[in-house]
Amino acid sequence: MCSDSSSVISEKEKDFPVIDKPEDSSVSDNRSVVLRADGLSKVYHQYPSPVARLRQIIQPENQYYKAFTALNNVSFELHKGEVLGLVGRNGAGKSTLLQLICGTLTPSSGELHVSGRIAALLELGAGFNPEFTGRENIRLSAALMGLSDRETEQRLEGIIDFSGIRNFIDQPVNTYSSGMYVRLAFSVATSVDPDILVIDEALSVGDGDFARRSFERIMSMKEQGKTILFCSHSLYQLETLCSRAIWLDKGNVIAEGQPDKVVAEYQSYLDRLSLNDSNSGETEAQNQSAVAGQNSSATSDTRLTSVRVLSDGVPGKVLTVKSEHSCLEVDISFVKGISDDLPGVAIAIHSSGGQLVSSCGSWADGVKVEINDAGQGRLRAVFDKIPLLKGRYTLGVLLFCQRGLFLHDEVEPAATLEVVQDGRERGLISLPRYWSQETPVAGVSVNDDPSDSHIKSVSVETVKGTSSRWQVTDATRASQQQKLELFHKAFGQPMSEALWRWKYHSADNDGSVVFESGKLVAFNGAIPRRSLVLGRETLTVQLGDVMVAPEVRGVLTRKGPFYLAAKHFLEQYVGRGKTYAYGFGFPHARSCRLGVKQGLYVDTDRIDQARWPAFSARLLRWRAVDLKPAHLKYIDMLWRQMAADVSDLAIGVRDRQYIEHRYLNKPEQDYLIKLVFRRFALKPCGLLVLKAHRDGSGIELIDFVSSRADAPSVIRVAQVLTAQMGQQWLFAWTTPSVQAWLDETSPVIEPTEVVIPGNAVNDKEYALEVKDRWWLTGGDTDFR
Amino acid sequence: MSRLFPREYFFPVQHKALLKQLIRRDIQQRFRGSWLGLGWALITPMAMLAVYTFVFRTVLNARWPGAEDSNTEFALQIFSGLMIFSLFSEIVSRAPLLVVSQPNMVKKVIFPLEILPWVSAASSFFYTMASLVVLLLAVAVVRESVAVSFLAIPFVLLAFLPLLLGFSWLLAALGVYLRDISHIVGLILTPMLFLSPVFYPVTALPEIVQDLMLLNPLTVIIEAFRACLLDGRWPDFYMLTAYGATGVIVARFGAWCFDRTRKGFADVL
Repeated sequence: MCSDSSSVISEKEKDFPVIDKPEDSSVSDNRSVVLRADGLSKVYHQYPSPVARLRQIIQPENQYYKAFTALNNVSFELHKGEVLGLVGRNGAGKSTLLQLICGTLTPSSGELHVSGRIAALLELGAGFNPEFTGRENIRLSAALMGLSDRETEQRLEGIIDFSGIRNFIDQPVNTYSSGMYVRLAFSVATSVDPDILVIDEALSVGDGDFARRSFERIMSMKEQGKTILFCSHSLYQLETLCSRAIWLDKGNVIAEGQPDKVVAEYQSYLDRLSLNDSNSGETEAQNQSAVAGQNSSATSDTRLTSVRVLSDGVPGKVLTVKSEHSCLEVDISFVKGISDDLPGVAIAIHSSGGQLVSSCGSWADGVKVEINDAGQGRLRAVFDKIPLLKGRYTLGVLLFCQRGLFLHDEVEPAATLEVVQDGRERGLISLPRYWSQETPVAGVSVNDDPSDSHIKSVSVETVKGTSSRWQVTDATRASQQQKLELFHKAFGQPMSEALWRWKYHSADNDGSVVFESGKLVAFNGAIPRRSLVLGRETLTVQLGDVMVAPEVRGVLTRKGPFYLAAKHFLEQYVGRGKTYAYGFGFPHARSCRLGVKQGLYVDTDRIDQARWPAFSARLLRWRAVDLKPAHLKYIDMLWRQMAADVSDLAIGVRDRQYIEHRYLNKPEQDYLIKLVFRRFALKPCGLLVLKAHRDGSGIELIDFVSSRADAPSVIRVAQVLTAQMGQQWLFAWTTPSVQAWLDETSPVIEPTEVVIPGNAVNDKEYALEVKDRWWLTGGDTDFR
Repeated sequence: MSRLFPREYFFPVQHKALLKQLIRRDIQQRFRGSWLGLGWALITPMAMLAVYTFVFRTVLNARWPGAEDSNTEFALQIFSGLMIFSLFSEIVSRAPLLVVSQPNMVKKVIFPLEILPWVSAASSFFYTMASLVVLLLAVAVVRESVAVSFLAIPFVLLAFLPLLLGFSWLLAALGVYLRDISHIVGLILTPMLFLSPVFYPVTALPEIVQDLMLLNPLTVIIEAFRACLLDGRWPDFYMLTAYGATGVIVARFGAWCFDRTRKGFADVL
């Protein structure tokens, strides 16, 4: 048996070229091995009846079955972050291998070591119960994949959102269409935060938009360093996603290595195979009818054989494209099936938000597609000076029937385009245009009509930032010394370099600056902040330290440095699809009013001061403990509990990383950080950050982390601590969303002059999505 | 199965979130969409009780030995026996289908099959609790007092649990390979209803038969249950402990069979 199987392998080796393992094994060695298969084999035993199976267990020395080898001596290692793709024809053993890895099948021989949580998309929705609602099935599936109740509740909303079937989520799943069913299943399986994701042919689920989003989700899991194993018949997907590929045939590994090489070998093997098939078929056909022979073709299916996208002659999957300069070429090869008509080729470009930006089809453009005798054709589309504006786009190629009705094959995406540009035009495409102008005759009074061409030309000049007086640009470390000096001058107190570095997370680009003939006159600071906005992890930015040199403060118009600095940053970086989705800040209402008037800001929330009397009592039901290094691990737990309650709010992430940076690593920190425990509990129910109030009249509650249910208790503990420190009052800066959590503690609420603006420059409606939803406390701003 | 009492079988706390979901689902599933919902958990045994009382009292003119000659007293005695019997028959008759009815859980997903008997036991105990509340109310109304010994009921039920789990594991595993098992179980349960002390107390039987009755796994439990609920006696704790210990041995054997045969499940489903 043993010699038999080895001879099979050596025979294969003659037939198929064996591709060497990639050279980078030394690189991957220092990453941990998450999966090791060692001589894995699976022999299926086919039993005539269930009783025969039982007999086999009772009398293992006899043989009651017929054996069928589905997988033969497969060995490989996967490191953390690798993506392995399996290719092979039906029945090659791909699914068997994936099932062995998931543990739903046990190997007949060989060993398998897996470390970490596996989520499997072997059969979408296999664990669903049709009589129960979508929501109930999410809970069950999540429990099945090992999530605790709390983790499930936290992720529930996100899962529902991603599936896109919120309106049906409380209906039994047997009323779902198959597309909805699959969406829900995919959404659950990829939301449980697995270490290893196993996907069997599940990528092409749902309609176009969902397919794209699911592809993107898998891409982002790849970026997060998850280990992924999958098999797909879409060789392009495989090449795009994988860092390694294995080709299986009849249970044996034929080739293993770089995906492009393995896929190319497999593709040529398929082509050879279909050539043989169709040749034999052809001779038969010719015998029967001479007419059938004229339509000679290499394969039975019309499909794409290769798609290459080149930007200025450079091919790639992710291409950098210069707006209105680069020449984009799409090189498409295809074969036509025997029975099909000539195909047509279409190209579609989508924005990162999934919107179709542009598309074109060969049939619509009147291109006559030509093929050779083997049925092969090749088309090249050229987009010269591509007019896409800055952003990320995906380009897909589709192979249709001649009239563009039936889809034969598609490669979506064939390439990702990173469009860069020199100017600051916003939008998706640059429209062909020309300008004209009439200079008004001197002495004639300028009309107040804003449509006057004179005013127009001025505003154009200002927006482009090419005014000779002010130069606006991204702030960098180069101007660091000038920034510190400006700070001192503008706010009348010095700022240390260490404090600045801490505050701006040592970021290189920390906002925008305006220079007047080489001298820094204005700065608009930007501090990145990880946030949970309406339940989604989102990068937001806190705008602050808006400072203008005293000598140019008077220029408050739309040409002035204040406006330019703020506008530059908001326009470039904040908004839907930008680096930061939302901006926020804590300006005085007076300064904000000007910004609102100038169209920079829109009011999204306000800050009130909440005040509680000190409460002198002994803590009986709770205990408060100073935060020690051993306690740090609890912060993430508290934040998870808190995060579960804020799915309809916008809140800065308060996890361990943030708390450590914000309160523990602050230079000259003077915070009092306490963990609150229920008297007999081992794990805390809240975290408190306190500080002596600025005018010495009480204690300021800077921040707290706890679930909504525990928040009132945490405040009560803070009131007791206030009394213990000999103070009369506990104060806190809060947004109304925070106060809603603290109703039962009956604070005295007093309005302040501080408001929370959002970005009105790009898409005002987008910024307003978080109106009155900010959950902010003094800790989100107090950097002194 | 290296340890004497493998955690995954005997203390499946690692799956507590999953167990919670499955048990809730199991209980809901039975009444989902029905108008009366949980009410059926009370109506079904009461209807059965009415029929039995009518047949035995009115038609056959039976009398409960050692108790007051009244319809209500007779009903209480039968109901208490019937409750234990239903618990047993529900769990045992479902057992052979536990794995067979979940082919997806065996083949498509990674699922701890060994917790299925816990799920079925938990939902059956849930219904038993509903009946118990009715029974306690009935005793309180009919007799105008409830003996304090009813506090021993949880102990009686606890002693019953290992045996039920053991039967479940054994029958669930066999049921996969021998599809006839579920029919055989159905066939055995009907005579068992009459061979158990449901419609009569054990003391009403000749002495030689009384000893034989101990071979019926229901006898000890039904008698102990009646003793503490209706007779106001504390049950024989030595007997119950011995019974529980036997149950644990049966459970261990059932778990062993289940574990031994489970790798073949995927091959035959």
